[in-house]
Amino acid sequence: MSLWERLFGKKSEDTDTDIGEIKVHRNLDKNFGIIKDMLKDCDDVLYREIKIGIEGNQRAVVISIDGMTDENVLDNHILKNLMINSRIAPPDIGIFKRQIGDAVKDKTLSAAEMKEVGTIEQAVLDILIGDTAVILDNYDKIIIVGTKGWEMRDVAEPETENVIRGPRQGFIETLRVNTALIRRRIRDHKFKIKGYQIGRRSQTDVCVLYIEDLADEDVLEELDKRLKAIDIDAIIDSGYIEQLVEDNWRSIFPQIQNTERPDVATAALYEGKVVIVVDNSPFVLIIPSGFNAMMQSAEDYYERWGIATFIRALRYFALLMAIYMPALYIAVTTFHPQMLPAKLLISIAANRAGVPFPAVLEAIIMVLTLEILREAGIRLPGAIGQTIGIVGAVIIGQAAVDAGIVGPIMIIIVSITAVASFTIPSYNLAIAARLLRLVLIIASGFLGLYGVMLITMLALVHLCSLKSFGVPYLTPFTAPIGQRSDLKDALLKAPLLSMHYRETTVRKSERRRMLDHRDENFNKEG
Amino acid sequence: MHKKMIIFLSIALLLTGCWDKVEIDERAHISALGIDRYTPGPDDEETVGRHIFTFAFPELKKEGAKDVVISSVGDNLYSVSRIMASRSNKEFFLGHLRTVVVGVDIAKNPADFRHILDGIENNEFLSRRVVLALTEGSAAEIIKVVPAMENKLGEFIAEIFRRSDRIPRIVGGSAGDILRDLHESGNTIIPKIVPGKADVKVAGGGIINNFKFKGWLGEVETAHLLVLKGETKCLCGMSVKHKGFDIPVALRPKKPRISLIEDKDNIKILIEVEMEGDVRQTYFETDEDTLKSSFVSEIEQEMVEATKQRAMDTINKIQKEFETDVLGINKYLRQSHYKLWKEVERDWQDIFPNIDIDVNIDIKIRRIGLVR
Amino acid sequence: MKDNSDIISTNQMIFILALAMISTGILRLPRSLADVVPYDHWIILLVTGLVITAVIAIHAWIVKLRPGVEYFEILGESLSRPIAYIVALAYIVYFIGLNGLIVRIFGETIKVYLLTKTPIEVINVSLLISCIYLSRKGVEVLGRLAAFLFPIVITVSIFLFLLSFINTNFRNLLPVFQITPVQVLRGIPVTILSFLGIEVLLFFGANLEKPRESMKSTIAVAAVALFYLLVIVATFAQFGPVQIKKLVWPTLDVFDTVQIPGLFIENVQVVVMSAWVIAVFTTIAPLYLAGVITAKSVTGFKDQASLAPPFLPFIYFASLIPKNLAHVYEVTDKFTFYFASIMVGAIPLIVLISLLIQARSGKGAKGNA
Repeated sequence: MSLWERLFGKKSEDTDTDIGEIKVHRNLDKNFGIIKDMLKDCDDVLYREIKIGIEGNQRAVVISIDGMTDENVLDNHILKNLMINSRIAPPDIGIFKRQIGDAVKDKTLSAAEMKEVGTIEQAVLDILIGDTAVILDNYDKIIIVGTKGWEMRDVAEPETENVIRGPRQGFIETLRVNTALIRRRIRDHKFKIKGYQIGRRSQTDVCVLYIEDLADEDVLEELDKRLKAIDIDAIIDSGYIEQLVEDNWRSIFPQIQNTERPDVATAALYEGKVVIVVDNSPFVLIIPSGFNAMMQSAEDYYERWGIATFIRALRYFALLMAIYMPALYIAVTTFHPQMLPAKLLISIAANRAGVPFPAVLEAIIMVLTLEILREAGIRLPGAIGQTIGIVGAVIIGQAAVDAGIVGPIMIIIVSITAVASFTIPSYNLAIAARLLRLVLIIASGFLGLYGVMLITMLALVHLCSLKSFGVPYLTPFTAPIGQRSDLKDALLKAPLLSMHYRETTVRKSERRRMLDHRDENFNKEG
Repeated sequence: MHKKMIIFLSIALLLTGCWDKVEIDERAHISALGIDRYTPGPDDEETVGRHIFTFAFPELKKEGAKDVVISSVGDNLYSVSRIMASRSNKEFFLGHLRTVVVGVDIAKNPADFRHILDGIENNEFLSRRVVLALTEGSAAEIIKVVPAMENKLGEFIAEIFRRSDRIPRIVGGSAGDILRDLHESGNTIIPKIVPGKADVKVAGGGIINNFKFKGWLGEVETAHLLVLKGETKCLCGMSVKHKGFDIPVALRPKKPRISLIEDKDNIKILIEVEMEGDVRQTYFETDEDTLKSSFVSEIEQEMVEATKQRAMDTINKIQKEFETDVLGINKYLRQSHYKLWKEVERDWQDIFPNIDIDVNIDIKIRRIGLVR
Repeated sequence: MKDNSDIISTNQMIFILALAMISTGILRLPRSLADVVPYDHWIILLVTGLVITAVIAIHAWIVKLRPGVEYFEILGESLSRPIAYIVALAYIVYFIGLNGLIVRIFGETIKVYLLTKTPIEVINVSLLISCIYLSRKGVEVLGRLAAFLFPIVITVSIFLFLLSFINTNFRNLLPVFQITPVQVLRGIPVTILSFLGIEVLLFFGANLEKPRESMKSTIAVAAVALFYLLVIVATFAQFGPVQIKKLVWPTLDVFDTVQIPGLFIENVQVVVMSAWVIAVFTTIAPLYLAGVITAKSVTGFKDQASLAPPFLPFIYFASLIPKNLAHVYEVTDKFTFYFASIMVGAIPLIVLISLLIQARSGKGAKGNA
């Protein structure tokens, strides 16, 4: 456990850990001067010089940032207490003189979150985060009061990962709200939230969430190492963290799952995974996560197992279609027409007669057109985006067929492909599928089915070589015997009552997640 | 370094690739092929070739497409399909060939016939499911027929054969089976095809003995041969004379049981066939009571006699006239009586016409129709 | 982190072995057997299966005796250092030769059934390039790949063979129990070719997670023997013993007879060829990797990735040595009967005996080992 404590023991409140070298001076003016100098030309900083004490002879300065502080706390619990309440109920003057800091901290300020810092830099950083600094004269610490509070989006239904059945909450851009959303679902003291600040300039809060006795220590250790190794000026979104801690950043396949849904993140935590929440991003990251996790939707677990199994199998089939359909069409029609039944063949050939381009080019034109439409639909504002999609698909498709540039069968193939690719729950996996599709189209144009198979083998070798924090990407498919229990939740979704174990990625001793206490007759009737 | 090499290699590969790419509408998907013997005229040079190949492939039109028929003289299938490329704007593609009709003149000459057969078996695109048929006249004649029901002849014939186990008088005809029989013994029966005005008729079969055409087996005989071989599921269109009236009975034969009743010197074979049948009709206001089991057993009895007679006639014809074992007795002996087969294998051609073959037929009538 | 630990589980090893065995041998197995005797091929197959089980047991025993030690080290330990270098070089030549022949036959089949006009060089080289990619990744990735592909390949091929049973006559398998022991013995050598690939166990044995379980590798032989049984039943039931003799690749021709009316696909043969690509890839890749691993231990090179590409030209030229398909099969036969039996059978046997003698005579001298 020593390693454990060293890595994840509670950060001590000791001021020794404060960043920066400029120690807080006993002289208020000096401190104030330094801070003012550092925050020069920052017009959103508020300085409030006050006098406290019965005589009003104790000077103090309150510094905060306009728009990032909760004005209620600032006004009622800091300024009002310091200036008015301390005079109405004055503390013992002796103490007041000698131990001004303790008196203010312990007896005057009535805010919940409070700490002292010993260096100016730390104080400035805290001010920039949204806290309020109270600088007292004749005191060598700066009191930081937690007053973070700013305008934020309401917790609303997430835009991505929609489900029919399931909670309607989605993460928002504020880290604390997000961690609270998860905490509400895990009332266990073993659930830990460990904070980092990453980004030289941005100092973005990044929290690592895990359940202590479930998460794999190796993963935590490795994650800690990788997070600490990040040295970048700013973290804008969790996408930055994703790319910086990924195992294989060259790959087109995502190795870290992201989600906007607290229920998905929580379920992952219970599976022994680790969740990374990044401030200013509604997408949290889940590690380690493999291919299988990205093919699952939250709803699979909320609905009955029969339909969940069917839909999941359907999703895998759709994935295969999204990747292979155009390539197979090209391979079959231009290289191996003996595969097609005579009637279908004649119909395809008759429909294609007169199209000037080879089928490969036809496919590439249509797939690219579709990608352009998709991209345009995303960029354009909501209502227009949809219009563009429909207008583009229907009118361009129809016109292209009428003009004889592409065959109608190709339109069907490309449309089915597009629809199929929307069934993939994970957006970034869908992107990888799209890229792979293009590669396959080109390969099939040169070597037919053999080319398709070659690329498939290369892609498979690549997928097999991928790991997400030590967990093979294609788990559980790559060790079908060793991870038999995982297969219950892969291509198929077994009934909840038969899934007694967690995934094998969890710590070995904690595999069991469910015990069956029902009496025997119960099962017989079911 | 390696990465660059691999990228370079794959780019080189891609830029020079596409050797096999032919767009689907640039191929001529041949659906039927007729092969005839070519008799050189006095002016012809010797190099012209020995056969006339007639190809049919569908036009690529969305509506009202017909078959295009072209023919050429040549030695073998492969070279002709290459030569045709110079006469057409399309690539000849045999992957969808479903019907090969061979003129009987070719089958009369074993050398020619074997030449053609190997051309068919050896072609990688030509499936073993291709229908192989013989015709009495010219094969080209058949290929040129435009069936009224279906514009495309290749499809038309292929569809007839696809239903072959439900039509009584058609030999299976798949090239795979024919080739296997020929590999094993040199004997087989190939379906016979006859041209009509706006259709073709498939009925009967040509007997091949040692790669040489022996003669035609009639339609009814073919039907009974198929029953004895267990290759059909129905023996319809048979009727029995009962008190001066024809009563049609639809028969459904089961797989026959062959057994060897071995005599020291003479081989005796017994073929037992069980059939189920339905009386399809009697006659209007009949005097018979079809619900009486005595009537049913009378019909059964008469049907057994009639069928057995026809079966024996068929066997007789095969044994005495054609002297060709298309019954599969050789296969039966090899599979079930290997020692005996080893003794007779060499002289089977001479032994077969003289063995005793007996047929036992058992018919059970199950249904007697809706009217009493 | 345990990123490239190159450890494979026993199950993955079994999958690797099974897939490594199934390759070009399967194409002509029925014909070779039909040439020997017209009946009872399954008996020959089972006897050969037992022989191969014995051979793989030797390999597994070696792995078990020296857990986690590379085969080259074991060679040096049991045969002395200089001989070990020669033997290791012979193994490299063996892998190159075997791979060359397999690649060649593969190229010929692809050229016949899929890409008639594409130069065979392109087909061969493109396949070998993908093998390089795998060889750079190492045994661990191969293990996962095999475990991923095995269920797929086996399910698909069993399904396809079952389809061929729709219009098959099982009487073609008759007669039974006619075979004589001499005929069985004559049938064994032609069958052994279809089991080549087991020798990779020696080379990947050092990567086994639990070397003590190495004897479980015999399961792979049993699985493959069962699969071959299915192949033989399907081909003989379809074609009968007489016609099979005439077919160059009877196993592929079986699928030509499959007809499923009303399906999207008219001709399953093309699907078979896709499964065929996988089957050959999973044979060539382990052999290639085994060659690379041997080269790595002989040269003492650390970087496995850069050793993989130099093999390509050698294998490529080995694949071009036979002049035509007939020659390919003549060369393959000689290669199996002489070279392969020494490399797969004799040398491991000698190594095992030497190890056992060492273990018995010098228990005290174990410190040097």
